[in-house]
Amino acid sequence: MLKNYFKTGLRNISKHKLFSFLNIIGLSIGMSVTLLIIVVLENASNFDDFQKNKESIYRVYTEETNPDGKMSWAITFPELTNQLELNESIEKITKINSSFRGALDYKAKELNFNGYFADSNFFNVFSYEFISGNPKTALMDPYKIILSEETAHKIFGNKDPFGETLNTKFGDFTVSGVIKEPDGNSHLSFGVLGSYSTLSTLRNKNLLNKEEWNWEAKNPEYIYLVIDNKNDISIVRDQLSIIAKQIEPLVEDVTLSFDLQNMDDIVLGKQMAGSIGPTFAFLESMIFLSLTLMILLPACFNYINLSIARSLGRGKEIGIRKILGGNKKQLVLQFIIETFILSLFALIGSMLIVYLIKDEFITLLASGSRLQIIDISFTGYLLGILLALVTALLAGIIPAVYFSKQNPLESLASKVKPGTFGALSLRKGLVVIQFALSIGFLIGISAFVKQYSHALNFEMGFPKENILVTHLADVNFNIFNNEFQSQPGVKSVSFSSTIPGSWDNSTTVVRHLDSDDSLEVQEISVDEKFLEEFDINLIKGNGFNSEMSGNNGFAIVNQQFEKSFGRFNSNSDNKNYFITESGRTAKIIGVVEDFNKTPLQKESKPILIWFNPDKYRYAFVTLESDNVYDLRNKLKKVWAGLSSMNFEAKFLEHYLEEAYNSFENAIKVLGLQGVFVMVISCLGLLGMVVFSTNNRIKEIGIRKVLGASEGKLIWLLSKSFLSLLLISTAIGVPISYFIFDRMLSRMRYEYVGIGLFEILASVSILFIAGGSVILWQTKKIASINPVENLRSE
Amino acid sequence: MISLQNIEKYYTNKFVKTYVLRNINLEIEEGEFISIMGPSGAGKSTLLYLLGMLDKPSDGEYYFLDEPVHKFNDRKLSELHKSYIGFVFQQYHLIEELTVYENLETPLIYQKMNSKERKARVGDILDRFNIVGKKDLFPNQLSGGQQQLVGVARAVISEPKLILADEPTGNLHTDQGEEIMKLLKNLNEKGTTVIQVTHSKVNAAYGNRIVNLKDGWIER
Repeated sequence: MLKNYFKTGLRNISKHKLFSFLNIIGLSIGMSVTLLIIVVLENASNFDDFQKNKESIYRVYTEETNPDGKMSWAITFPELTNQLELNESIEKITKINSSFRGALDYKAKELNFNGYFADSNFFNVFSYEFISGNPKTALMDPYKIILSEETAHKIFGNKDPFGETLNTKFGDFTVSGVIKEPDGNSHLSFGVLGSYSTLSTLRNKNLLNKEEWNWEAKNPEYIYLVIDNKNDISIVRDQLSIIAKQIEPLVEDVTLSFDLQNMDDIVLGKQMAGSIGPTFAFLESMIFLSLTLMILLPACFNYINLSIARSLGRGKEIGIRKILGGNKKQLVLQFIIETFILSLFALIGSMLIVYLIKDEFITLLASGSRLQIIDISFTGYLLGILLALVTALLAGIIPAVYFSKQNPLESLASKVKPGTFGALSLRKGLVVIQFALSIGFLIGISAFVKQYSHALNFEMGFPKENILVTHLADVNFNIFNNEFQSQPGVKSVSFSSTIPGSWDNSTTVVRHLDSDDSLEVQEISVDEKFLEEFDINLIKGNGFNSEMSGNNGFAIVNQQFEKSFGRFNSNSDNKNYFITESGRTAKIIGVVEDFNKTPLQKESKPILIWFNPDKYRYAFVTLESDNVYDLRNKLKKVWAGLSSMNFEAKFLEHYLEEAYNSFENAIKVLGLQGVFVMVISCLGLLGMVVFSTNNRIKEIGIRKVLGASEGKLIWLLSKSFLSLLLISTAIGVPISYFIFDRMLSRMRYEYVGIGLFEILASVSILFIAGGSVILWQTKKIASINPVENLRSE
Repeated sequence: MISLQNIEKYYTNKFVKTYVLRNINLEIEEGEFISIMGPSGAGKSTLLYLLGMLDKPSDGEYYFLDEPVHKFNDRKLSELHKSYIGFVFQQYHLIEELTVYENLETPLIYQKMNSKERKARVGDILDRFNIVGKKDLFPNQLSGGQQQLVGVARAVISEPKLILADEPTGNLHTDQGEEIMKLLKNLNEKGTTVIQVTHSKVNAAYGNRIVNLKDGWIER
């Protein structure tokens, strides 16, 4: 019986080429996004499978409770190991610090790398194969480096790199081993491993932040444990909670606790800040998966729509089958199988699409870098077939039931009109939903594009051009100043703790000496030339000057600070004094105009400006406007004379653009989905126009003979479809305006709003796309010679 | 075999009842060959489809092999008709996507016959109707007469007790029509009850009884 159904199905597909073509294309697109998510999730669940200890490896992670709620961090404190090492339930412990990145220099060759500092226990916990070197000692001493096969090949070619010296911004490292690339994806992905003991050396030399247990520093430190006996996990957890109680974090209102996470749960587990490798937040993926239904469903709608539209031809076959004894169940089954065959074809199409778009999409979906390969495995194929089956059910069930319910005598007598009331309104409804969705995507895209361009052109309150931002690393700012200031082409040099206009943010809370009212303010530490270089004008009082000493008890604030702070009651003697949450008292000596310290704020935030050379992390070098790139290369040479570390310099504009990556991603995702939905909707509309105008060929012929003009006939045929587009617009515009308006206004940026232009542009695109589909087909029908189509009847 | 008692069939349309069949009383014995005749619109086809359980009477009682068909639900009706009744149509109504062989096989599939038995049955009927050479052709590759031959073959393949034929020769040339009529006669002689709707007196003569319909009434 099934064989018979498959045969009929295949023949039906090949017989009705337009119908099959429209549906296979539509379903391919519809299924591709869902398939992509399935493939990504399936791959994610296989992460780290090559680790022999996978089941007994646990990661220590941190839970932060602050006044805003709870937050999970994958990072934790390396100091925890001191106490954990005493715990007998733990077989092995290893520490990783993921800040080992930058550029590797080997004789004139330079290669960017990403890697970890890892201790010598690393290879006891994780399974990696050595090509050269000794796993027991390779990471023992400071300044040792292990290369992955790939990295080694890139720098040294086929030569054995063992014992060679590589220069990085952390100093010179000796190659102590080369390891094979693991067989499969891992959440730990690295090109090199440096010995963890290097970090302690650097800390002793005062080259790294040495404030330990300081949560604000948020060092990228990770701890992994091997616990063989599952029953011992609670013992370790207990110990961790005891340790947590002993911690007094430096930030008020924040409590920290620690917990364990099995390696299996890392990639597909809960979303954490500070992840070491790619994570696929399971919840987000699920939300995304359900969003893909927005694309899959319209494709199914097409199928439903077109199937019913050609019921005239199909009804006869169904009628005969009924008379021959086919019952409803058998007919429904037959129809579903036919849809299944069609969706199997579509599955092939969607796999092609997945291959084309996967790389782009994965970077959007997976946070964290270096996701190596996404492949469709055997399970992936099975899941794909399952997807085809689900699609077949979604798309096939309504037409199947529709046909199985028809009276066989009526369908044999061709009495069934494709436009029986229920079916017709169902089909119109489906088209309306599709185009309402399309308009939603169009409005969403235009809203994000507007927001993005607004952000890029935003007046930050300071100039953005020709400022080279340089990380100071181990160079003293005075030396830097002397060397760089004197270079030809350099206009000015200044220093600060954070980059203005980036998310790099620190805040504190201030109050008057004699009042409890407090104000949250953003903090930045600058030198005396900063305000001038960034063109931030002093309105009242004085600026800093070079004679001042650091930490001097003086501060400059912006207008917003003055306005908000001035509202609090205070004795006039104390009016210009404030105290911070860490107990520092300071006097306000000047007020500057407002500027944006963080990207695109809804309104100016109060800003507190310190004069504190200890906090300088960045130098800002303003260049003469011509030949900035040549100049940058010259400055690189100057830097080489100051530090063994690499010259990390980017123009301020790049930092500002990076702050809006999320917009770019949103535009890409929405754009792709929008194109998909539009294409599907237009295919569906085309099918509907084709089938229903074909039923009117005779009528059109008669009208033509009676003297109707071609233009009038086109209008006659098109107007019902155009009204569908109008209804979609009327439904889609308000709903999507509401949704995107809400969504964008909740972001942390200043929100520009969705204007009339965006809405009109979206509606025009919809009507141009939909209208040309309608016109194309109706014009064809209207221009047929009436003699031919009347004779054919 | 069949007993119709006071069968009425009408359609209600905006307060107007349009009668198609009025007060039909008809007894049909097993083994009869009945021709239903009458002018267009007399209700011949409606009566045939009522007998074939594809349509339901508005009023009256219908007993098939002493079973009260008028009381049955759709599923029971479908069971009954697929095991006892075969249909032959004026327009042949073969499934165009299927070959001759598959068209013949379809009723057996719906009766859930296993594939081995199906093969034997189809082979047997292809032999009997002398259409073995045509078994892999599609309906549109056959002439009208050949299509109707397949149509009859499909009707008898499940060995029904009753064959209902709606102007089986209406679309055929005279000699093709004759061949089909002889076939039906032959089947009747082997014990199958045949009821046909026809306009042609010649075809009616193959039967042993004529039922004349006019404006929905049986003419006595």
